[in-house]
Amino acid sequence: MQKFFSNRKLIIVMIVIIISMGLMAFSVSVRNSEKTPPLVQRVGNDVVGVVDRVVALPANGVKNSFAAVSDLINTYEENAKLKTQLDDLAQTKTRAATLQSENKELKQQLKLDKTLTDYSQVNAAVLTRSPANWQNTLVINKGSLAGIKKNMPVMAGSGLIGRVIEVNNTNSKVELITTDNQSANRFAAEVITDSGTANGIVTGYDQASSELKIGQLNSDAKIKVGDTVQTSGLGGLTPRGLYIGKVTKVKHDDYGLALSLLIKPAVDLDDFTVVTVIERQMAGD
Amino acid sequence: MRLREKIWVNVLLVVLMLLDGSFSYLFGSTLHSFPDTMIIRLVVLGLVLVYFFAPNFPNLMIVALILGLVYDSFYTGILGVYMFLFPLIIFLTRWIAQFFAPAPLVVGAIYLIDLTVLESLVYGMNIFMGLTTMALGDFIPNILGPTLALNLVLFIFLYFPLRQLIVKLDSLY
Repeated sequence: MQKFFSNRKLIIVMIVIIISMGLMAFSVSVRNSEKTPPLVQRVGNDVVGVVDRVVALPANGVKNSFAAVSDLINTYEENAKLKTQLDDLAQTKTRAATLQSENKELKQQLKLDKTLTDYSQVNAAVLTRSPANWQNTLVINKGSLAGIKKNMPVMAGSGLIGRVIEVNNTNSKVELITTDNQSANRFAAEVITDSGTANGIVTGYDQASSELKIGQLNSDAKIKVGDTVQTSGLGGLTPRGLYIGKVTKVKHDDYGLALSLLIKPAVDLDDFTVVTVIERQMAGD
Repeated sequence: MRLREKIWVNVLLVVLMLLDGSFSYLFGSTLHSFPDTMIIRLVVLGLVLVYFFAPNFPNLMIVALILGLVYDSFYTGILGVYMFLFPLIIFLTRWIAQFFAPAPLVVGAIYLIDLTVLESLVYGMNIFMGLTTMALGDFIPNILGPTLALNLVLFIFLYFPLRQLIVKLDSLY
């Protein structure tokens, strides 16, 4: 029976282990700092991204056509539901437009050009998803050429889903808000209550009930089930007012001191095809 | 093996790698339904079958290394995980295979052993880098088990077609 490791092989294995540890340390440090990955890696990712478009095209086509069929089946029910909402909508829209123009004029008078709530959008399609669930990453088909920068928030439909963690020229990686990563960049959130707002941080994700956890709340404001949670725009590149979800449970921590919340995300975090990357117009820190 | 066929085996491996991602995205809500997570590993199946049925394919170790590097860079951005593990899989397969003749059952068993080693080491590395907090007691029933089950089913369906394809590519002298 042959020995599992001969001497020479053992040395090779040791060297490979050392190299791979080094690479891991290097990539984790690149990921946690502001830098983009080295040029070679970016170009490599771009090339694989282009090849992946060929493979992803039929796959995404299938997904879209399934979605189209299920949309068709749900149409009647949805139509009835939407009709009831529609009555409010026209009025709300006019009112929003009026308020927006008024807001703009007032800002001009105050000589404020950009505030935390101003942002522009870049639409992107999802190319693929990391097979292993450890990192919870998506690859989207827009990169630095489309103006995407690291740490920009990403939305799907009406809700927040994650953050850009790596930017190549023509594609970028998005880390979902559900990640278990210890060093992930967390979102600052605010809860809008009847008696003012409370600031907190999205601290994690409860897989069992598929709800987001919010902790480190700073205020005694009376938070009720059903209150709206949005981004607060404090820190980083996130604007204020991106919708995250609604409060489903208010609980005190083990010592009865701090509050933590469970919120229902606005979108299904496992099922979306098009995402929107949000670019805050006011410069970040 | 002529250059053209060598290229086609590489293309097959790259396509399998990209299909892993596409399927994970396509069936995202099925594969990640709490508490079970299933990870598709078609590329590992490809590597194991190429090892067994394309003996003329040279430098499989190097190909596995490069494939692992691309996999790391494209999917997770953390280099050095699969870059180390894919060659290790080939190494492990080669070591076990010397005791057996490559019958379907044997290849399947070796594939499952490879996957177990791969998933456990990936889990270990993620713990090491602080990218997950999952306990070992959750990992084994919720990720390792379902992943092995899914890949066993895929193996049963894909073994013969993939083997025919690889044997054909290998025999085209």
